[in-house]
Amino acid sequence: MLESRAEVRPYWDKPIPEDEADAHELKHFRQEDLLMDANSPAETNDIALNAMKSTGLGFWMAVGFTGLLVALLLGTWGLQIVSGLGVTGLNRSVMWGPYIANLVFFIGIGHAGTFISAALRMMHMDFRRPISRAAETVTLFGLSAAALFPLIHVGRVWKIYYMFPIPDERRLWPNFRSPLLWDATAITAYMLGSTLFMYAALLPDLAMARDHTTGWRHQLYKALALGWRGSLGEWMRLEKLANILGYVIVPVMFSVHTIVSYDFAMAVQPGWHSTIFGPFFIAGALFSGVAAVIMVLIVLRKTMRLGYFLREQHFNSLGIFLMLLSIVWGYFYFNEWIVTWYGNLSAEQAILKMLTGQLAPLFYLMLVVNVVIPLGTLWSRRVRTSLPAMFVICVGVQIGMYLERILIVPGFLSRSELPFNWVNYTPHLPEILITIGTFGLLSFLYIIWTRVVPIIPVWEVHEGQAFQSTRRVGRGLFTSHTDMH
Amino acid sequence: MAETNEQGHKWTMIVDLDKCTGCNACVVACHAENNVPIASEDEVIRGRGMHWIRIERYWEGEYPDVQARFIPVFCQQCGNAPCEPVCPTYASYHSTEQNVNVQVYNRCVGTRYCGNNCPYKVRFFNWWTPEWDGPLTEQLNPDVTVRSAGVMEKCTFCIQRIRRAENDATAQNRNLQDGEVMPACAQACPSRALVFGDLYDPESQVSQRLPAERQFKLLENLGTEPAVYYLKGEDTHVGE
Amino acid sequence: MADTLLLGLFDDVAPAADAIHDLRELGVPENRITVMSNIPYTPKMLGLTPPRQWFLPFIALGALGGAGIAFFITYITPYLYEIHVGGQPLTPFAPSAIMYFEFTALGSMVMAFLSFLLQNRFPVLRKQIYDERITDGYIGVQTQVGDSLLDAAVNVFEANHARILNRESAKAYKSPGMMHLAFWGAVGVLALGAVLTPLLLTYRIVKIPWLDGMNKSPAIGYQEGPRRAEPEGSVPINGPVLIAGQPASERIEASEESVTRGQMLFDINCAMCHGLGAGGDGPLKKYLPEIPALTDTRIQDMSEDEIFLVITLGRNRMPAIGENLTPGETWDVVNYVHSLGATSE
Repeated sequence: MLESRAEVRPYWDKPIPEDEADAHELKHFRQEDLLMDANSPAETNDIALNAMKSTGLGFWMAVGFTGLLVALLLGTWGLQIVSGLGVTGLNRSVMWGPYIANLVFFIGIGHAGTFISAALRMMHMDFRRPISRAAETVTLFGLSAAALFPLIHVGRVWKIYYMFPIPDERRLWPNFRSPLLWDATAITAYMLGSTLFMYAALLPDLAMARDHTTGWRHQLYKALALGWRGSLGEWMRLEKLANILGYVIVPVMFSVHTIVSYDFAMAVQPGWHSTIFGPFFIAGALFSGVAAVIMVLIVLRKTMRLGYFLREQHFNSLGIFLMLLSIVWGYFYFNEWIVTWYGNLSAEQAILKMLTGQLAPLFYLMLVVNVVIPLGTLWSRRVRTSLPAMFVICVGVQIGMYLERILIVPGFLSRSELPFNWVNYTPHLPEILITIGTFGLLSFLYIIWTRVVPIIPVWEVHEGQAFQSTRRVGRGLFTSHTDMH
Repeated sequence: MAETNEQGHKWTMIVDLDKCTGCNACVVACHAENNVPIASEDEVIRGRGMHWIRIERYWEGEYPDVQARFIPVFCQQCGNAPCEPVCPTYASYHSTEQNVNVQVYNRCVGTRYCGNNCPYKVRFFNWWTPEWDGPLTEQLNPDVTVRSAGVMEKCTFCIQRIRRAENDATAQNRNLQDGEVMPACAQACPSRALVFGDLYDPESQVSQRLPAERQFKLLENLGTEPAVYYLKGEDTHVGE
Repeated sequence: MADTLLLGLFDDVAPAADAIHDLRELGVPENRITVMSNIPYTPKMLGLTPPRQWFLPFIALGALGGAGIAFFITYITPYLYEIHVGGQPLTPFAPSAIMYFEFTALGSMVMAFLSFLLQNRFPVLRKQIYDERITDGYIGVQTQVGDSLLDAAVNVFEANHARILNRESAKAYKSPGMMHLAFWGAVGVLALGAVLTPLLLTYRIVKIPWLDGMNKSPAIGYQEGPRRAEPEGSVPINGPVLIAGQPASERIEASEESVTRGQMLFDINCAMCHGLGAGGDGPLKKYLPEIPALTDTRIQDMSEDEIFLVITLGRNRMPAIGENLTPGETWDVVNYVHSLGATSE
């Protein structure tokens, strides 16, 4: 017969220190740091699950409104297919317009997700824990929305399979020397990789949802969780898989926006033919992507009562990241500008003249919201932790990055080598409606998704909490993380 | 300047700007021959004019010392065409036999990348399903596809005429003679400013006239190796 | 002797690790112990040896497969249908490098995921021991012991303050056997179907007519006669109007003029089979011996309406001439054919 051993209390049930100063300090840590604020997993699971099940009036209104926008998008696209691309404002010199700018923009938004969850995971950044899934979801739906635009853009969408590498009776395979197909391949690889990455990390949370729901939700999660029990082998393979996918998907992420920039840089169009476009586009993509993630997190926190998970510390870290990206983006833009300006080629001069001439309002607005405002405000912790301020700054960044793409695509195209072909482009109603509709589509999918899937990776939070504790250094008490990897 | 090559042709056009009067006869002839849709006034204002060959007009000098310059611009049938490799469906490719830049309408899905990448902006997109008024439909050329909406098109050096002449010559078991092929624009040019021929044929008129002291190519610095030679003697060059 | 499956729930990782240690002491082999938790604990914490993982061969296979696809796309397909563009070589290195990178990455990611599923035997298709409180932070330890060790094992769980939740015979948890094979087989069939179905469209086995694009030109073709403007107020119809019991379209009565016209049309459209003069001795007679002479009484006894229908719609080996003749012209031919009977009698 074995002797009965002493009972051990679980990590979330640690006693409050007797020393009053220590107790006070600990309370402070719990307020500041999500990982120190360990509750029983049953409680935190409930927060995530209740958020998922909250479908109040506001939710249905949001679904209805964004659903209308989706209908607008599909309706306008249908009309455009029936009547021809002539309904847009595109013309002979500006053959690519907001559709391509939107493609770049929405792919850009999709970049932060994987960066935050994969790259920060590899670097063992703890602030990623509660936000990684929300960020990955932005990637997933950003890419889905972006993938629409090649279809909306082309003249004969019903012949789009000519671009797919499938055998057909014409005996003709697509031309993989075309940057458009590099692009399609890279986006496919990125999208599939991100989906697998997201799904793998979702399994433990689907199992959690399976264990705490009934009815159709239970059946759904039971099927999706694939029978996850959280055994040691499953966990180790999951960690390994996440590492493998992470190391592969980060280079793929860099390649995606580089290749998107190649669509422009490979052309002999003045202003586009630039070697810096790859890194420049990556910086811009991360910049708008991180801003998008911050906006999403603010909305999630406000509407889904996720204040426990999404704390000031996360917005603080993301704010610092956003500020760094603003500097990087500004640096690349300056490079791009000064090389063009000093080169003094006539066609490129015409573009610079146009930027500071008739397009000056857009151009200066872009610089202000992308560089001046973020750099001028985000150095302050008070701004970084104030949700309204962060939201406004991020909206500004989105506007600025959208303007950047608009200036590059239809803007630069309106000036070319032969001045006879100079035209100006003004968007017409279809482009505007489709662009608005796509934002609606993105929001629609996101709203539905948050009610179907636990948007907080609860197991990652629990993991962080289980290995976070305090450590005394000299006379002070500090938080300390046990890194298991 | 006959270039040599065992097989095929190098179809070349000479545009003598000193002879060109800017009468636009070539533009009309091209529309008739190639079923080029006619853009309405509104469309032209929106920057969607459709002429496979167009007379670009530039003003030189300051008022009152102003001079009008014009230059017919059409597809330069580049040797290293920027429009070709960017097409994902091979709709735009280089015909190795005729050495012209060919557009296969039925392969085109309308990504319009070629249009962006053309420095001469001589590629045209069918924004609408083309329509012709009244009896104009009766004069459509059956040798040339009538393009649908959503498809790119451009000057082909009247490839249908080249093909027919080639087929006739093959059927009669002889070589093509210089002057047998003439695109609609060159045929219509009243001042003979447009001269067309095979640069691989040392006897052809273009080979005889090139290299000329007055010759230049449009945007030659881009390395596109156009097959169109412009001749301009007096004053300055246009468009360079 | 049947084994028993035990599942105990522990509050924390420390007692769970202790229990595992005690079970090992009892002689329970490591592969009979399964630990379940809501967060990843490491083998070191639990005192177990790390399980074997099989990612590398799968990733290598995926990377090779991806590279193979890239090779096919960039080096094989250009030679299947040689097309030169932009003065570039047929298989330039730079674009191929991009394809190699993307497809290799994609292949290794997909295969890594597949390997993850297979190693975990996902999706689990059989009943397995589990408790819902595990995702609430409790640690489940499952073990399978024989009858001789059962009491000792239960004692280990109790000494470490575990709640014992399950004491079932291991027989209730059968291995899924062929079910997994069937599942992956079905997945494979579906995937193959998804790959092959588009070929029905691209090979135009299933045709979507309104997608044909520029096949039909509105231009007047070489073989097409000049298009005449219709008379004022007329309604165009294609071919004759056939109403049961009534003569087909408006008849043109036999007249000398009509017969002359009919003879001309007959010589153009019919004489290659029926012969000039309709004696059934046209140039094609030697290939089609059944061609009748139209002067036969069998033909001459047919009503005019029937002859009209035969000309318009064809009969036996005779093709339909309807689309070559207008109804009026057809009546002219009918009149001509009948006039032949009149002269021979």
